[in-house]
Amino acid sequence: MKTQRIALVLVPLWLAFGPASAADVQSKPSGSAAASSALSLQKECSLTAQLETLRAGLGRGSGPLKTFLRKQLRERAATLPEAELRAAFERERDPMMIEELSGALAARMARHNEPSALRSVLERAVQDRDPAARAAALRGLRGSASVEAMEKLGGVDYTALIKDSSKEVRQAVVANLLSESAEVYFGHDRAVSEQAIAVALGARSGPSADPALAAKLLGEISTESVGAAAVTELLSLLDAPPEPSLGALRAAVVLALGGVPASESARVVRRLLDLYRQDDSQVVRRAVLGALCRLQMAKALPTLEALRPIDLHLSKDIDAWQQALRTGLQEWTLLAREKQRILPDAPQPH
Amino acid sequence: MKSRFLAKTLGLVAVCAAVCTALCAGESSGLAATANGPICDPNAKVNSTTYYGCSGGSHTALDIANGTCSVWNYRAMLVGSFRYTQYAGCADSCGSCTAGAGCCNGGAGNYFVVSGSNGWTFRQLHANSPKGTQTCDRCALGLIGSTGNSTGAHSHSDNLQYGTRKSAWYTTVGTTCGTSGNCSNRVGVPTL
Repeated sequence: MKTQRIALVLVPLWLAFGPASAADVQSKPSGSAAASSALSLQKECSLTAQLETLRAGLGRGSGPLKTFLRKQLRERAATLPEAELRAAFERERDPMMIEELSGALAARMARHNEPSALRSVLERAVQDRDPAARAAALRGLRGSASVEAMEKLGGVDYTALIKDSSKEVRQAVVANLLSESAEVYFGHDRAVSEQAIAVALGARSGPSADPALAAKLLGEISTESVGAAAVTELLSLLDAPPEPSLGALRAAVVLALGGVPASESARVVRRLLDLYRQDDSQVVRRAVLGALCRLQMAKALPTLEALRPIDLHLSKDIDAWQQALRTGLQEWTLLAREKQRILPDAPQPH
Repeated sequence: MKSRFLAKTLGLVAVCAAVCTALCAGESSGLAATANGPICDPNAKVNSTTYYGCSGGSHTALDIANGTCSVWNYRAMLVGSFRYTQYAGCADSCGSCTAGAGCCNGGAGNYFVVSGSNGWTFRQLHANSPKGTQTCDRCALGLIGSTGNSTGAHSHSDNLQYGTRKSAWYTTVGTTCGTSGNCSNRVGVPTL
């Protein structure tokens, strides 16, 4: 209750003075009145005080209060001096607060289009000895253009971070890539999609191998803008002998191939038809049926019929896809939803 | 008697379900975003919505101006990080469009597009001095200008699905002529 009361007192002050825009007019003189107002504001609404309110709110506050306090810090980050925010981030040891301060630095980067704000976040994501702190630093970047920022800054990217010994860090990598692809670019960005594929390839082997995370990434990432080289890499993953324990990963590769650009569809369809005959895993075969429908839309009707005798256990799936295709829906999301409505127990294609 | 009534009821339910499915199948959902005004000036006001000047010909978009040209930043309107793809090549302008070079890019002038899912887009038109394609949150895209088919410096923003302009994104939040177009004021909730 006390925290909520403090927030209620501080909110009007920040709303009144916090979101002031910087240099929107090309030549705007800064008056002494504005300077003295800023000084008195700093006394009452210091970053330290705000962070303590946030810390208390995240610990004991209600869900809406937590959401409000998080958003408030990210909004204010645009007008705070970067050095002050960075120093607070570097001092912080609590993972919960590290995530919020990392998010504030990411918000500042997005508002000013300055990737340098992320330098300390990335350093910490690599170097901090506490895996929870490394993961929190990364989670703060969710929903920002982090792939582009990492490319501009050089040094580290998600293909290196996926090799972290901590599962929590690896999970943060996958969640960031999926959210960035879907929420920032709506699946249209080639660089993010190709980085996700490279990360999934990296997660398959080595001391920090995590096939389940690789499968999640490949199963959910958009591949609509990837280039021919990325498609070739995905196809090469299907060349290894089918390992029963990696059925989910192979199915995820198939789902990813189902979303490739039209210019790549002919060779992908050929390979998927071969795979349906060679791989007797039902998870993989179900994924192939969905991928073929996505790649061929109405043209998949005879293709599916030709595949029916190969595995009679999947006749219901083939019936459901054919029924969905006959509705004439022209968008994959609608078609997938219709198929799901007809046969709800089948795995949901992405 | 009872069984006939039951059969009729079931039949009616089946028809309703089929109609509902057919209607719902035509819809494509998208994400609801928040759009703030594009000018960080208290004088910025909405001056056209569904109709030019709110009483003229069809417009179905928001025009926002503050009476200046090439002075104020033209802010990206969506709250959150998004990719603003630039379509430029028009010379800066503060006046009216005349046939030829001034009526550039089909009338849109220098403009920016955020491409969402399922055919949804959000556009901001008529910028002067565009800064290029950026992925950012409410950053400066350029300056408020009058490039393209425009009769004075302003921001034109619209929300389209498969090329058709929609009005619900601003009508649902009550934005109309005279509403503040300041960058701290929410003017709409476009779908992406």
